Amino acid sequence: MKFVVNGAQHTTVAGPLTTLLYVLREELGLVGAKAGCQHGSCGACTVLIDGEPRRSCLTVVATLEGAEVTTVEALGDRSHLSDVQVAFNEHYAAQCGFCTPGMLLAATALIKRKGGPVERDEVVEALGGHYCRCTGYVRILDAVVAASRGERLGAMAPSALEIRGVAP
Amino acid sequence: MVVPSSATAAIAAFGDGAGITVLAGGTVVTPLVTHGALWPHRVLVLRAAGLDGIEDGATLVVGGAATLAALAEVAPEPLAGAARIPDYEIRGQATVGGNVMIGGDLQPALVALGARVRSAGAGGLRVDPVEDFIAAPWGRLVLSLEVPRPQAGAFLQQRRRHSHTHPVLSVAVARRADGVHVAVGGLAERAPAVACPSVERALAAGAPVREAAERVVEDVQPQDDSLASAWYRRRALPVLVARALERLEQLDAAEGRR
Ligand SMILES: Cc1cc2nc3c(=O)[nH]c(=O)nc-3n(C[C@H](O)[C@H](O)[C@H](O)COP(=O)(O)OP(=O)(O)OC[C@H]3O[C@@H](n4cnc5c(N)ncnc54)[C@H](O)[C@@H]3O)c2cc1C
Repeated sequence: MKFVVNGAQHTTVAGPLTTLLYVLREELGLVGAKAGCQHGSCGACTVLIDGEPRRSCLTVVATLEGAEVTTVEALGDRSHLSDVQVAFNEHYAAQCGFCTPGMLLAATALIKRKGGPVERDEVVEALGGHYCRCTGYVRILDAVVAASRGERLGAMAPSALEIRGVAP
Repeated sequence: MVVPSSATAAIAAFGDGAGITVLAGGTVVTPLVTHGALWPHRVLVLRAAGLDGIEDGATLVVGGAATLAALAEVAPEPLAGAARIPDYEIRGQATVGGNVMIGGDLQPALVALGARVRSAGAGGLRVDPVEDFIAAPWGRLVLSLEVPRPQAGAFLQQRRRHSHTHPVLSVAVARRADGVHVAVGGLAERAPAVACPSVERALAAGAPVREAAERVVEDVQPQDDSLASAWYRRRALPVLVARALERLEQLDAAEGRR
């Protein structure tokens, strides 16, 4: 089975009923998608498949021929965060971070779908399948709405590595 | 594993359904496989079989592998409401056929609308009223649903706050040419939806909505399960049926039907 992951062609050696989540984490070492409930209920394994957010734990290799998969690793990196990542950072929308990759991808897809500012209730609806046990959601909603409007606070929260003086 | 690229090939591969596991959206099958609860012998993947088409018209014809998201776009109420399950990603992956097979939320809406199910399996192709089909769906491959458009409809659900449990109760009502039809689901986990002829008869005889709704307890046998007790379901159901019927009355009034 051949499909594209973050722009690169991948031919998997995994069996047809293996989940995409397993292929990403164990075969490709892309651990951004999290293995949470593995029943489709928590949203932590969400990736984009052909641009649409999907649960990688519910998607098996047999259905992926020719698909284009995007994981959080392709959204941005430390020096070039995507707008949604910047907004999450500025609004303190991540705490433990386990749900963050799924939230970021679903939010990115929502903003792309709407092609402009999104309302709070649209975010609630789009992220309804994503659990966060730390933030209480309010900051996540703030961040997605701000990102959709192109708003920047201009004050990035320092990363844990920066605080410890490990990273510049 | 078979991945047929046409409906004909899918029907042939399915045969009489013995020893074959159908994988449509996989939202139910995949976790079972992942967690070792299901070891499929042969798998029929529907993805490329062309069973996901939707034909709009006086009767909506929905392919068995159409997604709930696609259905919600075109379906009349109460079916659109039932298809709009509260999770964007699942809606885009879950199929109509899988939903009908596992006793999902579409069932009460389809019963209220008088839908028919086209299926293949032992003995060849069949078209059944949805109520007959869901009473014994095993060994059939769902090809399509035929859904006559009603004059008006409404769908109401009682859910736990956690959006991912099965509903505690679902009520679908539809005004069709021959009168108002009522069906309920969620009487127990995976119990098939049932029609409510006692309510329908009371309405036809001119009973006020609240009085007709009380009759629903004659039509159902709710069970205790982890979501709710049979006692609770019997108490809550007339309220929910009455609210759905009131919504139908409001729609009728707004559109000047009665
Ligand atoms: C997080 C989450 C939330 C959910 N919320 C809801 C909800 O609110 N309401 C609800 O109703 N459901 C819900 N579901 C359950 C499920 O997603 C839906 O019922 C869905 O429609 C099942 O379809 P599928 O294509 O994914 O099924 P699959 O997993 O592919 O198949 C399910 C079963 O049906 C059989 N099958 C599939 N297609 C056919 C066919 N064409 N012919 C014959 N047999 C077939 C399979 O062999 C299997 O036994 C939820 C699931 C998850 C993971």
